[in-house]
Amino acid sequence: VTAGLAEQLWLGILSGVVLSVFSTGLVLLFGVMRVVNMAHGALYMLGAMLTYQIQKSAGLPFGLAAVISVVGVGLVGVLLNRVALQPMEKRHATRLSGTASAALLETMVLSFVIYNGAVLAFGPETRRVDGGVSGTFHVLGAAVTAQGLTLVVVGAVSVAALHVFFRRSMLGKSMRAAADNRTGASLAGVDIGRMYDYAWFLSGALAALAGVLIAPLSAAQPTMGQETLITGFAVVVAAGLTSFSGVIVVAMALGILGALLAQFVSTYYQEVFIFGVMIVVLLARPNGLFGRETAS
Amino acid sequence: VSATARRGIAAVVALAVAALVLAAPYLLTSFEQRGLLVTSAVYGVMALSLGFIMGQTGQWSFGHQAFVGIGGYASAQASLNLHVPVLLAFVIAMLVSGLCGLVVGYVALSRTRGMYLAIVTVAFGVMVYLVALNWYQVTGGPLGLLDLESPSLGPVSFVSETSYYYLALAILAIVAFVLSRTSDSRRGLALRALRNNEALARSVGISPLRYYVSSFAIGSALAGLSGALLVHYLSSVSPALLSFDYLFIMLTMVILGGMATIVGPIVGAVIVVWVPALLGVSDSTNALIFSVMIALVVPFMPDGLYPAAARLMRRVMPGRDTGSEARVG
Repeated sequence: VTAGLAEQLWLGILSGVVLSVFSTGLVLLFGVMRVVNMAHGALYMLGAMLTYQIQKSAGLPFGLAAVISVVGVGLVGVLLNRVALQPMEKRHATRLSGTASAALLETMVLSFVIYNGAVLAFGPETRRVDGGVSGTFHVLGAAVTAQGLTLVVVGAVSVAALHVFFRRSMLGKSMRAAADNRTGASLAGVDIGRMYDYAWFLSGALAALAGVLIAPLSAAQPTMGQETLITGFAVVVAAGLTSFSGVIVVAMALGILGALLAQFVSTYYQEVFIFGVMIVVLLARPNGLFGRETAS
Repeated sequence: VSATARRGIAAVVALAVAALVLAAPYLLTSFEQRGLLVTSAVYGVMALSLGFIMGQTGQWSFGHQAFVGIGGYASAQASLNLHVPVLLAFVIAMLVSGLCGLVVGYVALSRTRGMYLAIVTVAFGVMVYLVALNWYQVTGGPLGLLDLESPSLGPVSFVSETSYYYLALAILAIVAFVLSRTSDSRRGLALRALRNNEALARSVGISPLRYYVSSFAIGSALAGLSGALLVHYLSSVSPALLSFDYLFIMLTMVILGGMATIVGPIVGAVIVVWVPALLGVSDSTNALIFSVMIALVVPFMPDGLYPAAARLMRRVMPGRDTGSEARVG
């Protein structure tokens, strides 16, 4: 039982880290733009699939392919913002029914574009992805792979770097200012439109990074990401939509809880359970467990 | 052009469309074409059910395929294991889906709007999908339930493509008629007020919850009906009915056609079924084409194709009356 427990804990940490990276992207975009991005899961899929494709067709090593893919998907995010969401913001600005609502529908529709495009471009098969790192250590009976360790290190460093970026750098502070008070930031000389581009870039890159990290451990396929999206929502909603550190805490807890559930209760109903918990949390505490302000 | 002449032209066009729709199985005689006719009528009911919720409440439900699927499974179970006549099983499907819609709608709408509602409905949809995939005893697992009966009424059995088409068409006509009646009612006015300005509507005593939840439940019941219609036509039901593919199809029909009208979603259904058949492209190409189309429609033509076309017609033939566009709610 102890060995099983250690194994599941390790697996839980892995999915917790992936979930942290994924959800940080989700909360970042929501924080800056008040947009709930229903296409975040599609960008995650795109990260994994592009990495595989670049690795395969250009013969590049995994790490390089991953970097190209993460940057590329970030740019896809900027493209979505420029082509689809900004024109809509201008158009709907005068309507009472609101931009947020139209943006929500548009991101949902964009996820269909990305998924359908990916199936057409890549074919629906599942791909094994070679992460280029091998070796296994045994810790307390759990098989800890070098690949998994790489995932944890890269994921943790990325999220920490982002945290520092938002706390310390001028650009990060400008983005937070744009998030807190659009008019005020604009008066202080912050270019709001550019901040939105940066937010989409970072958010898309984080989604892609999560996909890139998980790909060598499971697989890449053009239908992945839909359930991750909902789990990501579960995290963000529980954390209260705006709290960065809350997101990490909830993501790690949910990852570990999910792994333990899979081991000791039922693999099939693991996600059903997680979504159920999310719905209950959402209904009981609409501002989340760590939320402060009302976000509606 | 005078108003009378315009009404005359509209009546002639409507009659011609009605005649074409009724004669369709005798104009399009191949097995495949008749199959597509059935599918368009069934999809019409499906599209109306989602268009009703989105058009009336202005809220997005991204778990609508769950109610279609619940209706499909309920009807299949009722006819397979309870040996209920299929037409009665359709009613059971409506009741089960409607009840689920009532509960989900009440729980979700009493607390959430907008993005929270979207998240809750997406999660609900995936939960129902996972349950259908894994609850073998009731749903038959990944393979689903097979060998479903065709509906029959007295001596008439709706087995052939043509007869099923008329059955589905009759149901579509009833649904469309009933929904169009709601637009002028007190309920329709209240919903229109709520959609335009919830706070203001509240201040004059209109309770949003009651109207939103009832719209959600009615839309869900109709979704269940369309699911039942579909599975007894296909004579099987599987978790595929609960997948995002159906959500995509429904959103495409509603967004393309126009969600706030009766005719719009039906036009959307006809487009979704017939355009791919006429183009003859592969399923995945076709899915990409439609997703790009709706991605352009949402920002640039938010009312959909039908209202845009109706506006164009009015510009071409200006008349004094402008009440010909039937709005829901």
